[in-house]
Formats: sequence, structure tokens, C-alpha cells
Amino acid sequence: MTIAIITDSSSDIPTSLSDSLEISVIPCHVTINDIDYKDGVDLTGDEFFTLLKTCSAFPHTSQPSISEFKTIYENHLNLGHDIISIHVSSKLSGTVNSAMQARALLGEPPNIRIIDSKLASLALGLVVLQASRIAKATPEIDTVHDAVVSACQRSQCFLALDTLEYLHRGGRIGKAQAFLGGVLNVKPILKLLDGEVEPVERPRSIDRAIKRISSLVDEVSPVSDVGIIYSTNLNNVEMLRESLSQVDTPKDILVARFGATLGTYVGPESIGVAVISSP
Amino acid sequence: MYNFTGASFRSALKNGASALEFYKDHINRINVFPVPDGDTGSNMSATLTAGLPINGDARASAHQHLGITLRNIADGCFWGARGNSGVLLSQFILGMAGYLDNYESCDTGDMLHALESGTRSAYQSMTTPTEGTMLTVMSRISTTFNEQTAPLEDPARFWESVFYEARDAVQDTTTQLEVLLQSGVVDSGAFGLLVIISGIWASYSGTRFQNIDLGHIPDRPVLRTNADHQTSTVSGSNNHWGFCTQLVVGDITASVLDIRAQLSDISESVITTQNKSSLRVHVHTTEPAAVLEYLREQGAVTSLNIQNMDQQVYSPPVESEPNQGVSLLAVTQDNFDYIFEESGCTHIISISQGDTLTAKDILQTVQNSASDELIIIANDISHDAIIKIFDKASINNKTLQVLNSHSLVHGLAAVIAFNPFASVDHNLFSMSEAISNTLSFAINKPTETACSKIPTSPEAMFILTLDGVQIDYDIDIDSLLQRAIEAHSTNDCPLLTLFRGKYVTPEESSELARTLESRLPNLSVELLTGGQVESPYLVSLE
Repeated sequence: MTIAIITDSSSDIPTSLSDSLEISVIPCHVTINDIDYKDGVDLTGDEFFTLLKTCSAFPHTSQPSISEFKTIYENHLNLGHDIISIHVSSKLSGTVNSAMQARALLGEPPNIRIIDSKLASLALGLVVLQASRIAKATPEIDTVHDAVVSACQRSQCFLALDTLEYLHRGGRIGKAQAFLGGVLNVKPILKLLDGEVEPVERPRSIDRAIKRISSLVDEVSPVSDVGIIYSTNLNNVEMLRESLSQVDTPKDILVARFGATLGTYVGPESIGVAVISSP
Repeated sequence: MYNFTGASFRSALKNGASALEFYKDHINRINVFPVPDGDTGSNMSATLTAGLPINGDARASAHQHLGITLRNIADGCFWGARGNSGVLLSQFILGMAGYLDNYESCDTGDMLHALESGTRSAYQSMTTPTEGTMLTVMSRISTTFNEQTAPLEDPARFWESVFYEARDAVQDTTTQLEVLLQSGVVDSGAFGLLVIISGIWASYSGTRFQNIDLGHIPDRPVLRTNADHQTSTVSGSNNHWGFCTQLVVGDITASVLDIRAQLSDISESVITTQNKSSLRVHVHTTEPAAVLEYLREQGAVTSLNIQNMDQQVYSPPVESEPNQGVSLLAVTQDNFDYIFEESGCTHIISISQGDTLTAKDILQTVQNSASDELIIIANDISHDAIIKIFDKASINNKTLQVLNSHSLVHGLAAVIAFNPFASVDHNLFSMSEAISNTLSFAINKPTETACSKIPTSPEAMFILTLDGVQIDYDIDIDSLLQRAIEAHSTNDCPLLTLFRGKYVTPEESSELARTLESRLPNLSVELLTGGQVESPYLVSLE
């Protein structure tokens, strides 16, 4: 039985990769200046960050609707596929709830497995990519489901933001509020813990932040999968890539860009790394 | 017997959608739960509008069938549902449509059953239903009429009763969710539902929804950011927020409107809800005794609850967790009060030149803190003896640790390294490490003793100290600092922070920063206003 891997656009998987691996990415919605955009469909990361600079009101994100989930689930069920649907942390978004309602409307079919990853961005993306690989090798839904749940627990991301203002205005700041404000030009480092944003440290420059992110990766090594995620500055990507080469990481590093959904909360000049620790 | 038809109910819901659009921004502003992302009004409005498209009017008016009309609306909302609040609203309408599916028209009794069905559907749609939200309002309106009070036949009277039940339920949300109580607002989604109901009622009663009194809805939440954290002075603490005071008063004689008007004169965030015999009052006031005294004159106060909002607002960011995390207390002076506070130091004791600190000052701040564990940053401001009393002491089961940073510059480095969610030991380690990685310089004018050691024109000289010890002197501050950076920096990209003294102008400090950055290409300089009197510059080098 073919297993369809489904995620949402907050996974920040590059479209070319999700297309080639046949991963179904359900777009989240972003409203900018009263216009509703489908993340990754109507709006690329590049277009989003350009709009972000000029938009008059703060953008709003919303989860895919129940109907959007229902449509995609129905399409795959009609093709005879089993479904593993892996999504952004339920503590940050109502996406998992929409997915569960869609499954309920379809009569709770046992071959739709919905997983609350407790992750976001490329930390979720790397898990989805791993799920896709496993599903192609092992077309047994229980095995893939268990492997994905395990990978979610080993996946982590560390992000250095230029400012916490976007996270604050978007209402997702959580415990990182402790790092909000300040007169010093700090680049706060955040991670995800149990599905929520957790403050780590406040280095006082981006190069210090990048070095610290590499050392945080070193602390969770050995790692099997690594990705760099950024919003606007490719120089930061190169600095981080160089810094990661000093620690024990695989040479093959995926580089991805924040889409509109996560971009709304991290803002410009953000840089981070996602890793899956080896089992 | 009146019958709701498809056309009349669609028209009423359209009026509800118009009311929602009208109040959208207000609803957005008070959105603090589940995440304060300010979009509840927009999401509910987008969802309801999706069920009532403009070009759907012709199709809808073609038939009067209530069930079909509501099914079309529910489907539209379902497809267009936006955000959690939109999902809840669409599930509610879907549940109503499910009940009325086969009804060509219905009476008020059936409409009540439809509301019950909508409520069940909305509850079932949430993985973890939370009271104090739109759900609670749904639940309350579907029980507006009990067996003793059968639904009224008149549709306007029916929706009037539903509206007042909803309005009370909305006011009650404030006390049902901790985050709403602390923010001084009602639940935004609950308010949104009330707005829709007001539109429906207005439609059936032939009035404008703008004329309907929605009750007291605060315009925005109480802001809670680090900038609101506590700054106390040696002379006493400022009480910014006052007390959240809640009372229940029975046997009232005056009208509720009069009582509310009187309370508004002596307090803020006045919320009153009334059942048959009692009035529940919620206010924010700096003088709870005055509120109590006034209400005692109005009736019998049967319940009283007073909470100090300073302690709620100033405690560490996640108040709902039993462990309040670790807090920082620092003794600072001049503009460093502001810098420390902005950098996340929860408790500041500000001390003026020449003042001394007493044990009582510290004790008061410690006792007022919501945290069980505090780290005191001493900053070496003339009170080592007092601080030592508290070293590893326990006051009212609070654990105190003292970190003597020896200077404001080192103290700030320690604050930046602090993480309220890490343990005390972890913090002491990382804060001490930050101190050891930071060099604390000061640029001073020479003292008389120092003058005797400087060969020529000592009055034109500046001296440089490192950790309080004189290490260099020069006529130019920029030369002094350049030599210090070249001699002492161990970092490829050194970071210099200049804290400008009271008698240095911003232009002078900017010029100094530019000169240093042009001479040392890898150097970054940050400028802050220290406001200190004695030293033209305090300087940190990392």
C-alpha cells in the first residue's frame, strides 16, 4: 500500500523537494493588507519578505481549513493510499485540530494517522523528509508512524532572531518574552521545547549567535539530518555553514527559506539550524 | 405561532455579519487567548462572510426553506473557516444546520434545539474544550430557557433573551480564564459571538445593531511586558497597577447603572454582572478599601477577593505555572536602572549618590517578588556588608543567592546571560562566565593622588581603569581605548559598549565610536546612556 506523506506549509520544505518526493504540502493562510494568500502557493518567501517591509498592518496567519484537509485526504483515500499527516505544534497553531476534524468528517478512517510533531519550520520539515524516505522503503503504516513519532522527539531547531518583535506581535512569544525589549542589540537564540518557544541565550552580535548555534548543535550531536533555515540574509547562511563545518555534522546540509507562515513570526534577518539527532 | 423562514434568518445572520465587521477591530484588540495574535475578529468575520456571499443572495432568495438556507450558509462557513475562532463558529452553525436540515421553517422551540445542537457540535470540534471562551457563551445561550420558562413565541423577544444571557456569559469569561483576568478583558471570541447575536436580535426587532448596549467591554488588554517590571526606589515602591478587586453584593437598593457609574469614578475595568438577587463586581483599583466601603453602603457584601496586580504583572512571564522561575534583583543607579530593567532584570532597587541601602529595602523587594528563587546582583554599590547577610539565606521560604559583579558593567553582562527558565545553579554559572568574559573599564578624570603620578598637565589627562585599577592615561580618550582594546581583547571581533556619563554629549560619544570603529575594522561599538556622574565613560569589552 502506498503511504502518502502530508504536511503543512509551516514545515518550510523547499517546493522543488516536496514536489520531487511527492509530499503533499497543505498551505497555511497569511493575510496581508486584507488579502488572503496561500503560503508557498500564492506567495514565495522572497515575495513575502518584500511585502513584510511595506505592509501597513501586521500579517495574520491561519491554519488550513478543515475542508482543505478533507479534500486532500479524500483525494489520497480515493487513490487507495494510507496517510501519515505530520503537522506544526498544536501549541503554536490550530492546524492539527483542523486535520483531526477533517478525519472525523471522513468517519475516522484508521489509515489516516495525524501526528502533532510539537515542532515547526525545518525541524518539522526534516522529519517529513525522513518520513517520505521511510515510507518509500517500508510501506507499512504502523512502522512509518512509529519512526516519525521517534524522529519528532529527536528533532530540534535553534534560531537566532534579529528581533523578537515579530514573535511578540504575532502572539507566539511564550517564554521568550523574558528576552523581549532591551536597549542592547542582542540576537536572541530560541529553541522549541515540548512544542513551545523557549529562550536559550542572548548573544550580542550575529556572529556570536551563529557560533553559539553551532555549539548547541554540537551538544546534541551525533546528528543524522541537518538543515539551515533563513529569512533574508544569505551571508548568515554561509557563516553558519562555515561554523557548522567545525562541529560533527553531516556534510549534506539542506538550505531552506522561511515561508510566509513562519516568516510572520521570525521576521527578516533570522537564521537557524534544524537537526535530527541520531537514534 | 411565528416561524423562522430561510429568508428571514439569512437576513438576520447577514446583520450579524455586518455587526461583526463593525466591531472587528475591537475584537482583534482584546484577543489574548489562546494566543494573543489579534485576529479573532478578522477570523470570525471572514468565516461568517464566507457563508453569506453577496452573489448568494439571488440563489438564497429563490427559496424560503430554512434547512436548505442554513445548510448553504454552514457549508460556506465551513469552507471559509479561518483560525480557531472561525472553526468554532463554523462548527456551531454546522450543528444548527444539522438539526434544522429538514425544516422548511421552525418556531422558537426548534430554534432553541438548533442552538443546543450547534453547541454540541462546537464542543465536539475542540480537542480540548476550554471554558471562558465562545464555547461557554454557546452553552449558556442554549440553556436560556428551561422547562419552566418556555421559549417566547415572539422572535424579537426570543433573541433578546438569548442576547442578555450571552452578554452575562461574556462578562463572566473574565473570571473563568486566568489570562483574561490578568489582562482585564473578556474573551474575544465570546465577544464576537455576542456581536453576531446582537445583529440577529436587531434584525428581528427592527432596530440598528449599533444601538444595542453590548455591556462594558474593555478596549484593550493590560499590557504585560518586561518594561512593566518593577522598579522600586529606596524611598518606597511605586504601585502602578493596584488591586484586582472582586465582590458579590446582595440586596442592592440602587440601580446597577448608578453603581457602575460610581465605581467608574473610583476604579477602572469595572465589570458588573447580575443574577436574580446579587451583583458581581470586578474592578481594578489602587484603593480597594474605598470600593468596599462604597459597596457596603449599597447592600450586603457576601464575597470579597482582592489580588495585588503588581505581583501578578511583575512576576516572571509565565505566571500560570506553579514554579515562578528565577528572578533577578539588582541594585543600580542613574540610567542603569532603565538599562537593567529593559534587559530583563525583574526587580530594581535604585539608589542615589550618597544614599545607603538598608536590609529593609532588600527585604521588601524580595517579599514582594512572586519568585521563590532570586539572584541578587550586587554591582558593588557600597553595600557589601548588607548583601552578605542574605548570602544563601532563606527569607519566607525564598532562596537568595548573591552574585557580586563588582561593577555595573559586569552586572549588565550577567543580566544578559540570565535565563529565568534555567535553574539558579545554571544561571550562576553562565552569569559568572559572562562576567569573566567581559572586561570592565572606566574613563575617569585623575584624582589628586593619581595626579601626582602623572608627569605633565594632569588636569588635561584622562585615566583608564580596569576593574578599578589605573592602567593607563592619555590626553585622548580614543587613544586610551584603542590601546586597551589592542592590549586586552581576546576576540577576533571585539564588542565595545560605551556608557556615556552625565556630562558627555551624544555627539561626543558618537564621534568617539566612529573614530574607534575606523581605526579597528573588526570592532563593533554600541552606545548607551549611563548617566553616571563621576566617569565620563564606563566601558565594557567582550
